[in-house]
Parts: sequence; structure tokens; C-alpha cells
Amino acid sequence: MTSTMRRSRLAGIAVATCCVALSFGAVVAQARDSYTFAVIAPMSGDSAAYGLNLQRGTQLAADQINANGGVSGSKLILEFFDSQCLATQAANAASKIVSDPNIFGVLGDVCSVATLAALPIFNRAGISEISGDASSPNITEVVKTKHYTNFARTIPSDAQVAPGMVRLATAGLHKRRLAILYGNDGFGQPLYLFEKEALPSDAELVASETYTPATTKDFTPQLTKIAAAKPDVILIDGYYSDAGTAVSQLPRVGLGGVTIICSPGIDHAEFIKLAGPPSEGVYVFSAYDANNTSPSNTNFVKEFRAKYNTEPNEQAAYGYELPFLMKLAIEKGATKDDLATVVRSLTFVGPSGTTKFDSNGDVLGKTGVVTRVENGAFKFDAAATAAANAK
Amino acid sequence: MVEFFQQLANGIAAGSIYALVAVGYTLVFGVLELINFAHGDIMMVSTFVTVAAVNLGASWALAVFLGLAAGAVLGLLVERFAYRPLRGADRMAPTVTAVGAALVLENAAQLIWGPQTNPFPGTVDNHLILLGGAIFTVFQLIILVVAACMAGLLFIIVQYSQWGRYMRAIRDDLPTAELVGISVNRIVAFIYALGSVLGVVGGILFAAYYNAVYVGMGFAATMNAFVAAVLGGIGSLKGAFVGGLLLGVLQALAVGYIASGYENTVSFVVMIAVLIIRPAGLFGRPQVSRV
Repeated sequence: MTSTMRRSRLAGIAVATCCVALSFGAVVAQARDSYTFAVIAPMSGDSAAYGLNLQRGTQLAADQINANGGVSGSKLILEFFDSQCLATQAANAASKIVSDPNIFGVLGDVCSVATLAALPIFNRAGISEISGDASSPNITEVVKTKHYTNFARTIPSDAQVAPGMVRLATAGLHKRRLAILYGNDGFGQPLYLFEKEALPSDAELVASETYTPATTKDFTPQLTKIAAAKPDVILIDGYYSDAGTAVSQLPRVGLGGVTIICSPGIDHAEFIKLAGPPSEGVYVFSAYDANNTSPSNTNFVKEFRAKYNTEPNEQAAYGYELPFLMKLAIEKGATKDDLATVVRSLTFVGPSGTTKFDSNGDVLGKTGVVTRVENGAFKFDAAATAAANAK
Repeated sequence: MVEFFQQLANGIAAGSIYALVAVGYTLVFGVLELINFAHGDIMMVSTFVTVAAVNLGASWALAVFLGLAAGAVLGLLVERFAYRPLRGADRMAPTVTAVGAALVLENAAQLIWGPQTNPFPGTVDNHLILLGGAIFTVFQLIILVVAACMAGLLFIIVQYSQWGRYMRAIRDDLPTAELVGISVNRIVAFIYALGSVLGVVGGILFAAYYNAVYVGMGFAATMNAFVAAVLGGIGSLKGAFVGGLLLGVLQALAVGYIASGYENTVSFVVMIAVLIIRPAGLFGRPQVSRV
């Protein structure tokens, strides 16, 4: 090679290297012009009311964020996916989500069984899932044993709710003969197990029956068995659709006057519609206190009412917080890969209270409330709430 | 002991409903040797029609009549467009179109009325009858009586009416029936409509008793009624009725004495047992095929 050719070759390599370096820098420094989040929830099926409320809450938040400058100037976009509260459908939806490179993170699911089915798929693909409603203690177990760093949830685990339900029945309402009717899935079963464990020594579990969620419509065999054990209180652990049908069938097995305590998830107007008159006087637990007078909650309730002409519930309130939580995380430098890790380090104040996380992505320190059905509507019950949350 | 009788009553009530739907199934199979998989979904759509009519302010009598009419019309439509064109074809073909018709009905219903469970409008008679410590409801009795009456009515039609005679002729030998001048198309349509009407009565009772009207009830009814018909001997009306009652009782007792959550397991175990031990069912005629 002549020296001229060598020099021009060197110059060419130098220019090329500079171009590559510049373009690299351009890629790193370029902010996304929009952040797309997948929202996975039961949008159809027997649990569609959960998904509808989550959609409303998250969309309200996204609209507000975008109206106020977005996330570091970029738009926040939500894309909704249907899991139908079923493990199979959730896995399908998760596969669809991970095959889309534009999606930055996942919000949801509402149902614990759907969350548990989708989580490994998201973990393998390196995408984070932040849930506002999946409350099964099984999730903590899975996150701990499999060392998942891509998950966090803002709702308290049922490991705290179940003892609260038992406390209300025994210490609060002085019942001694408990019966439990629980859905045979990853939501109802853990509640039942934790309730069994939380029984005080002077109370007795006289009957426990299960059913297949969304399939069982005839609860009379189970309820007949429960009635034969003569309980003075029945705990129902499941979703609003099943609980509504079951409660409507209570009078015909002679359980018409027995005290009923329902798990969170049953705190839906649909439950009262399905159950009819037998729902009067039923206690229902909720992870969200709609009457909380904090400025953050009162503003949210006002805005939600104005936009949708209805009262917000747990999925709406917890859902509303999620986009704001994402905005906070991204502005603190979170990337797609470490989104959940950054989220776990945050402290956030919203309609559901103050959110702080532990090392497994579980939320610390939140308590729920107890409502009672009065004249066809849920009414906050201060005495029951105090009894349930007493230490 | 008291609990046993109560579970028995639960089982008989559920079983009566299965029996009604199963009789509709077996009627079609007995005469035409076709399993009408769309039967359950016709029942479901018609039940929705009744419920929608009541919610719009119609009287109960009118709403039930509309539901029955809808069932008959749908039965006729499905027969005309899904089965008649395939009458000479291999037996698999109409079975497949039946499933297709069922899917179309189910998804159409979901588009119109949504996928969620709806309560049954109006309160069902929850008056309790106390008998020696056991609690039964008046409505359980009503269900059993209605089912028995409808089945009895069907029996009279099939055994003693002229059209019943035509139906039995078609069952015995369709080409010959045509040759002797029986209007096969009309009778076959009548069979489908009749079967659907029976199913709709079962559907309305189901919705009232369990306070649940939902799109999936067609498939649930189809499965249980099919097992009941197989248990009783597919093709035998008496068998379908008894099979339905028996299945209901077995399910209730399984939940009562083995473990709850086993209703569907019982259905499938029964079906497998019947097919292995006595494929003709309790009252069915063993099939003889020419080799």
C-alpha cells in the first residue's frame, strides 16, 4: 500500500468511527416520544366490571398526565388487553404483549390467577408488571422463591385481609361458629387457608365448602352442607359474580338470617344486583376507602365522578395511581429493564393512601375498610372497620 | 339423614331441569339420529328473550310466550339452514354444523346482551316447606311438577297424536315415510321446534331457580343434558327424563358427601362409565349395525 492510500484509509476509518459514536450518542440521548403501557385486566366475562373500572381509573390518570405535559414531555399511551380473569387467557395476552417492542411496561392484572400466569412470561421477556389489585399471598411466595425483580403491587396482600375478616366475625361480632365458602382458585384458596390459620381458640370452623369460580351457578348443595352445620357467620371468598349468585340462594336453604362477611373483590354494585334482597346487611371488605378525606382522594373522587358519572371503587382508585407511579419512576430514570426495581424504591401518595414497598414488591402499612349493604348500596361501617383492623 | 333428603331435593330440582333439556335433545336424536348441539344455545337465547321482555315491562305470560316462540323459531331456522341441506350426508357433517350454529348463537347473544351474569328479574317463590327438620322450597316442587307435565305432554303427543305417529314413522324409516306421503320436511321442522320449546322451559326454570342468566348457560346445559340423555339411553324419551333426574341427584350427592366443586367431574365420570359398561344407557335400544 502507498502511504497516501494508508492515510486515506485511516481517515476513512476515523470518520466512520466518529459517525458510529455520534449515532450511538444520538440513540442514548434521544427520549422516547411516547411511553406505551399495556393494561391487562378482565375486560370481558364474569369479572368484566373489574376491568371496566381499571380502564376508567387508568385512562383518567393518563389523560390528566398528558394534559399536564406528559412524562418528561412525552405522551403516555395505554393499550388494553383482556385476560378474562383466567390463567389461559392471561398467558395469551402476555404473549401478545411481549411480542410488541413498543410496550414499556405492564399495568395489571386485577385477578391474582391471571397475574400469576402472566408473570413468568413477562419475567422471561424482561418487562415489568405493576399491579394495583392482585392481592393473593401466593404472589409473594412466587416472587420470593423465583427472585422475580419485575413485579410490584400497590394493594395489600390477602395475608392481612383474611385475619381481618376473622377478627370482625369473632372479636367484632362475637360469632363462634364460622363457615367459609371459597372459590376454588388462586384467590379464594389462600384466603380460606389464612382464615383457617387466624381462627382464635374460642371459635370453631364448622363448615368449609368450595365452588368452581364462574362455572358453578347452583350453590344449593354447598349451602345445604353449610346449613347442616348451623353456623352463625359465613365468610365468602371470591368474585362478585359468584358471591352474588350464592347469596341470592341463601334463603332457600334456611340461611336467610345468618351474618355474611365478604372478601374484597365483592365490593361491586354488580354483587348487590345479583344477590338481590338477601344482600341487605352483608359486610363487604374493600381495599379502598372511598370516604377518605385526604386531598388526594377527594380530588380524585370529584374528577372521576365528573368524567364517568359514577362513584369510583377499588380498581378505579388503585388503577388511577398506576400511571402516576410510572411517570414518577420514569422521571427518576427508570428504563424498561429496571422499571419495577425503581418503582419499589419510591414512596407515593394517592387516593389509596401512602404507598411504600418492601423487598418483594409488596406494599407496606395499608389497611382496608369494611362496608355494609344498606338499602341496596355499600355504606362505610366505622365500627366494623375498627374491629377488623384492630391489632 | 335430614341433610340427605335436602340434597336429594336439590338434586331432583336440578335434575328436572336437566331432564327437560335432555328430552329435547333425545327427541331430535331419536327420530333423526342427529345430536343437536345447538339445542343448549337456542335455549339460552330464548331465555334471554324472556328476561329482556320482562325487563322491558312485558307481563310474565307474554314474556314466556315470546321466549317459547323464539325457541321454536330458532329451532326451525337452525333446522332449515344448518341441517336440512346436509340430510343425506355423512353423520359427521350435521354434527359439525350443529357446533357451528351453537357458536354463532352464543357469540350473537354475547354481542347483544354482554358476557356477564345477569340476575333473574322478579323474585322467585322462596317459601319454605319444613318437613321433619328438612327444608324444601315451593319452587323446587314447581320445577318438578312442570318438568313432569311437559314430559307427560310430549309422551301423549308422540304416542297418541297423528303427528306423533308420523314422527315415529320417520324414526323407523325416513325414506319409506316419504314414500307413503308423509310431509317429512314439515314433521322434522316440528320436531326441532318441539324439542326447542321443551329446552326453553328448562332454561327459564334454570334462570329463575339459580338467579343467573348468562351466555355460558347454553353450553353448561348442553353438556349436562347430553350426559343425561346418554345415561338414559339416547333416543329414549323416558330414558332422558330419568337420566336427567338421576344425574342431578348424583351431582348433588357427590357435592354433599364427597367434596364440593365436583359437579362437572360427576357428569363426565358418569358418561365414561355408561359408555364403557352399557353404551345403550338405561333404557336405550342396543344399536345393531349391518356389517
